Amino acid sequence: MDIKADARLALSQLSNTSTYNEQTFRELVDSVVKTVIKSSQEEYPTSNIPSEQKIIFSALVYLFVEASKHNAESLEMSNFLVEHILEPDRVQYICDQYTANKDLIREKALKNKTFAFPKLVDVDWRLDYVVKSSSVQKTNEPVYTLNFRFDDGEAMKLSCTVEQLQDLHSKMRDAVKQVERTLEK
Amino acid sequence: MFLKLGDEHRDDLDSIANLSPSALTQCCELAISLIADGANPRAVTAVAQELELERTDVDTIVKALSFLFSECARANLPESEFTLTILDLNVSSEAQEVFMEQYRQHVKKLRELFVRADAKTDHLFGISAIPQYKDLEWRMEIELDRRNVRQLVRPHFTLNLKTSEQVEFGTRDETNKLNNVYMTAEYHDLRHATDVLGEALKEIKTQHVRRIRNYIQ
Repeated sequence: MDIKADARLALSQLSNTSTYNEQTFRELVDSVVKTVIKSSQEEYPTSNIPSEQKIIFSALVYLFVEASKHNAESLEMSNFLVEHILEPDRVQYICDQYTANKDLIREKALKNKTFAFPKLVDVDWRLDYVVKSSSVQKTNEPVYTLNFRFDDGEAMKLSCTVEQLQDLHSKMRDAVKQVERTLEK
Repeated sequence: MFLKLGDEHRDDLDSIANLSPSALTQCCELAISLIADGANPRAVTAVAQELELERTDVDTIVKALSFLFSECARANLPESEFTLTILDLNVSSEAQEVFMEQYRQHVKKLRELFVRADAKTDHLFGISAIPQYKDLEWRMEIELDRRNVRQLVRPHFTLNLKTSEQVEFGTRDETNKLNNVYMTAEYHDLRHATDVLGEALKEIKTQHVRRIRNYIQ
């Protein structure tokens, strides 16, 4: 885990039991967790933090986010912290809080920020029968109109003949079968 | 239901009455090639010289004949109705024979051409606003890492749906634009979509659709 030097320095301040008593320490760590998860019911506790603590606060936030990002184990976390914080109880407390909230941090805070192509959600279809047309083309033919819907609300319309729909359907079925085949193994 | 010839058209075709059957055959062939391959002025000139007619006259006749043939082919007239159409022209019975022969020989080819010409614009039934399906490419991926979070295992599909769309429909600049629509899909969504389309395909085999098809045809 690659934590920057100034963050390390800030974290080592937490060894100082006189400046930061137990309660202050716990409050600090808890508010860090809450900030990272951004639980909406609670107010941002950052305004309550006195300025000297802000450096440590941001160092802790950084630590939690980096560790969750790399899916670090609790052991790794404690090994790291022991070098900087002398109080084993405090190290343990931070590790416990981390372990309890790691998955939540990964789910909520980190996975939300991503980019991808629009995600297909649903397909609507319609079958029409062409009786006549202003151009000479084949009449008395069925034609399908498909509407692909995506997760961002967008939709895309497409028209195809029976053969084309069969082609599309078989290709999609291939894709689905591949997964099933892989799962079977 | 035969084809009613317009007056102007009839005037143009009047001069056909004066042609010998062989000359008529030549003109018909020129007319068919006009539809199939486009204008061939040299051939027209050659035929005009042979028949000892004015080039412009031959040209008019050929164009009128090609219009006649193309309209009949477009409407898919069976031979009996084509005969009725020709009767209107007031030509000799040999000339009628020539027409019938030419029509019989070429009607299939002409219809093919028309179908293919519209197929070249590649658009279903002239409805240009909706893109038409061309192809679907897919791949299955497993997402491993992102900038913000590492050590993921997230399988999903990436699809490329290729469509063709008519751009500037009906104008001179009409072209087919090939579009690539990229999308992702989770396994269960793709499976759902596949099932839905499978149902859609089953619909044509139902009694309801079959009844409609038989009734209309």
